[in-house]
Amino acid sequence: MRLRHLRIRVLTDQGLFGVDVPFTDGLFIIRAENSMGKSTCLRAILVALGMEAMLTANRDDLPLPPALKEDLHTGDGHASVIESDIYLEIENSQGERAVVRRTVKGSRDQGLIEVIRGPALTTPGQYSASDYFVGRPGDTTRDAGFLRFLLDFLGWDVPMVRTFQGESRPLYPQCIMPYFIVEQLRGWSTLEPPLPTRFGIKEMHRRCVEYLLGLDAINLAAERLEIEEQEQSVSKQWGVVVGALRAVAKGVGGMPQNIPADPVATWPPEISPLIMVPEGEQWIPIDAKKEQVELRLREIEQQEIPRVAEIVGNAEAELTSKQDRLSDRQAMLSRVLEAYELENDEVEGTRARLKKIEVDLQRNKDTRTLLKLGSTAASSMANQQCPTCHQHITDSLTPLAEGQGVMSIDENIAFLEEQRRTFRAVLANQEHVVEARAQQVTALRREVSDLRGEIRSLRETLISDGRAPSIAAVRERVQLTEGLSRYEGASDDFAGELENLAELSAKWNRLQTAKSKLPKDDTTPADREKLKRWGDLLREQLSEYDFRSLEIGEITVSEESYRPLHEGFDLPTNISASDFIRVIWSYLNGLREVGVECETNHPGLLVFDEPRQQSAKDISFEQLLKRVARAGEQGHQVIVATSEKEETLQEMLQDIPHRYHAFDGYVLSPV
Amino acid sequence: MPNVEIPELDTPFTFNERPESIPGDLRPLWRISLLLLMLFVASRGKKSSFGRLHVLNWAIRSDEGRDALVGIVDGRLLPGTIVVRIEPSLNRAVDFAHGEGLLRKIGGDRIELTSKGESEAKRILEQEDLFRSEREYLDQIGKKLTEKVVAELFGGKS
Repeated sequence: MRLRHLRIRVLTDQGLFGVDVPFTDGLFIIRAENSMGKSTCLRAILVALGMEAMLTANRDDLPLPPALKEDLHTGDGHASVIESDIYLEIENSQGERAVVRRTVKGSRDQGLIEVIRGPALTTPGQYSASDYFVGRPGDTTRDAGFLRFLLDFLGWDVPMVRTFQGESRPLYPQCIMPYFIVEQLRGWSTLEPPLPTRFGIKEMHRRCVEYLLGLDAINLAAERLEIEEQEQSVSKQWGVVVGALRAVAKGVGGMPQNIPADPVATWPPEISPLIMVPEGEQWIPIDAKKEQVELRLREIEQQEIPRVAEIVGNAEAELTSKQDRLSDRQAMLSRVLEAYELENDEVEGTRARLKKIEVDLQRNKDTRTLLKLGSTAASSMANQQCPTCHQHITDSLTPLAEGQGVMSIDENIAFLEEQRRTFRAVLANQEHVVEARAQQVTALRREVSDLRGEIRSLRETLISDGRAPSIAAVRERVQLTEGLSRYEGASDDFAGELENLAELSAKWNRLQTAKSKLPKDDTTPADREKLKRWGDLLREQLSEYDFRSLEIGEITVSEESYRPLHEGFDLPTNISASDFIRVIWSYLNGLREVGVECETNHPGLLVFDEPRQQSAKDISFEQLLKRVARAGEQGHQVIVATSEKEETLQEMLQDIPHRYHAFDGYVLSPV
Repeated sequence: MPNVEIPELDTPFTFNERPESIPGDLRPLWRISLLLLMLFVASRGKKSSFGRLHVLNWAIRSDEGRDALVGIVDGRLLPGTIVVRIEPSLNRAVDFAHGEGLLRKIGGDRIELTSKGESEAKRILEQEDLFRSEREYLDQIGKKLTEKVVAELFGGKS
């Protein structure tokens, strides 16, 4: 990516104002006095590229100074802005050029960027043009989205990354650009470039570095993401089918059994899934129940429906036995209900306990992160020393028994995770028990109501005409036939749903195989080579720029976080302000220079706006310019905007290949 | 009861002392960092009375406490109905933080963040994953918990 030409045009009530900056390859210096509009140019570049999220979280107003919106200083007075436009000509790695145009004030919508397909600023002519939208959802994914155009034009194949909500999104260019366009206001305040947080991307800095360095790690991470997404989808479908199986079983007052709650890779399971239905206080397989019913039905179908007179004796005996059975079942029901209450309480208790464990685990994990950060609050605590008297203290805020040790954080986390695993298993088991108990309650209630019906019909039978058919016998026959067809229907539906599980299991199997083929460690040897090179370049520059706060030999680039480390920890916050700036220079320029020898995705462009040389010494700024001037022979472009004094700057640039673009007075001047 | 011999137990044995697991909120580093956040995010001018820190410290560590304090700040609950637990571990955390130069004591029982403590708090806030729920809660309470409410909570006259 190269910048070729920036043009700003502002139409005011006192005529047309504007600026033209013809950029070149290699080191390009822009000089202007402070607050004359130098940073306006840098901001205009970002806005033209639709990168306003880098500058502000406000989505309604473009982050540009009043000079482009309301009120322009003309040197001897003010002019009211009527219309203003920014044009920027860019070039991609194929040498193709395009001009983007964004209207800041005027009748055109700020949410549109016009793209002219050709070098319209440097070689005026007729080129095709079209409008793209920006700053709204879809600007990175839809065909008419500007950022999508930009990514396509620049040939950036950005990876999909995961958000905190677990969604997958493209790595937005607004997150990548801060690694090579450092803007004055926020760019020099943190070691890692400040990235817009509104997209909620997880591990955003890592993903950006992986993309820019072209690390294999990012492909592996993407592959892993893809597999995880498919896993999630299979898990979800699995859950739906399990729910359906449960509903089928519930339809006949039963419970499914031996159904894996989560996807499994082998199918069918050792013990085949089946429906269990309650029989009093026992559970029996649905097939056994079906057989019982079938047998009884066949038995009574053999006989003709008996007349009342024939069965009076039997019916009386049956009535007594049914009444006994009813009181027995009612007693059982009240026992079962009591158990149900108790078991429900247990589930609640386990849930509360699990929640406490989760909270404690999170606190321990936070502490581990704090320790890794190399927190200064930790410096004595990590050594278990009192910061005041330097005596030994235990890692606890509460007094412990004499000689009693405390688990280390990692031990404590492992300990809690183990507890959580146990309690989760306990909870799953308890929930299963409660569900089965609920089914038992339903079944008993149904039985009680059936018994009442049977007793009623037996009574009716006993008082009806001796020649009439037995109501009780008819009732039994109807009930059995209905029951049988219900059980058969449920068995068929169950078998059908099981086939779905078989299919999902096969899919799961394929995913697990693919997952096991991925390497354990995401960084490959080639990746480590690039990171090592980056570390070398970082140290080389730090000594050139006269970094003194820490032992330079102990500074490396982390293979995990990709941040600069000192003796394995993040750089301490107490390094001097000037050394802090030196680290940013070396870190970001190092990232670019890795691309000179290795194959990376870095665009070979670096823009430093007012790189705070005041806080570093003149001599280091000169060294920085000398270093980045090699961009010319490296085929890169480095743009430095500065308000350094003219003479000092000229002296520094004496033997350095560069192009120089200076402004006297206001940058925006009459055209 | 007659003496019973169990031959299986007739072997020498030793006890190994195992390190103890302690609740995560009793780790000095965790509590000190939380203390910095309480001063940085939820205190006016990065200063607070000691009592006020005790109230925040009590509230933030359980769901019940969190809801109760929100209720008080919003005026739905009367301060007199709540018992705030004063925890000695916070005193120790304050002492350690003081020893590390992260905060200073001003005028009796008031505490102020030093610039070192402030930069430390900023560093913690930069890590999006750290103290997620605590941070959310402190943002919610913000600076709404005034010293006046604290005095009422401790039974003082307003």
